[in-house]
Amino acid sequence: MSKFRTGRRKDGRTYRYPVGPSRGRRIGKKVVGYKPKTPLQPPTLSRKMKESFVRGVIKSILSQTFFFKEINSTFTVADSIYTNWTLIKELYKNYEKEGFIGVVKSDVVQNAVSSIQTNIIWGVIKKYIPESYQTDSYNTILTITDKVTDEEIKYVEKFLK
Amino acid sequence: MSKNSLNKLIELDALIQKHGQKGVRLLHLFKLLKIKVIEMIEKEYPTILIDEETLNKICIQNAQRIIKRGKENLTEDDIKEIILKIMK
Repeated sequence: MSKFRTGRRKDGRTYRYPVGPSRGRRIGKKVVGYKPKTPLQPPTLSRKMKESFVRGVIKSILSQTFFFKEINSTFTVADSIYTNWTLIKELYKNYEKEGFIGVVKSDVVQNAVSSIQTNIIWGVIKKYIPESYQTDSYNTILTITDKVTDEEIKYVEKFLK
Repeated sequence: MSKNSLNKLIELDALIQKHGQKGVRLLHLFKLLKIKVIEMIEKEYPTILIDEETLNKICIQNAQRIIKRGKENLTEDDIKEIILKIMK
């Protein structure tokens, strides 16, 4: 079927214009009302995650070789925090009373850039961490110890009873 | 010190007083797994909605399995062995 409609007007002039979905009207040489076709974006569907999916993700994380070192430095940090908890708690209380000066006085804390929690914990446990684990352990404090919330602590405690 | 960090200090102190080294290890391992899972999901499966309850449940189960088999002084090889046993 032709894409154009052709014919002759009463006054003798011929006409030829395209047929099909409206792609604009020609007024003189100008086409108005033309809207170019835009491809439709497929809708993004959000899916709720299932338990089996999370188990699969954890399995793939645990099978990564460098992850053993991360777990080891996590345990090193956890054990050091446990061993030095009395001193860490005392420094937190000094910070509560006297602010940062109360903590700096102890000669344990030196870095003013990281958060106070990171500062206190790292300052206390640094000497107990082997040299090869220093960077990983500091990152562990930054990403784990510093970020753990009190709701998560309460949640974990339920599983220790 | 903010109220949030004070609450956290109180909760952490209670955990350590009650459950000792095991409690601190479990907490840290749980948080490590949770962070890693969230990172992987956000990177590779961005359309998945993260359900915190499901995430917490699976992470704590896996963390407990690792802690149960561990002894007091663990080396990297010990951890590798534990994880290989769990994955079988």
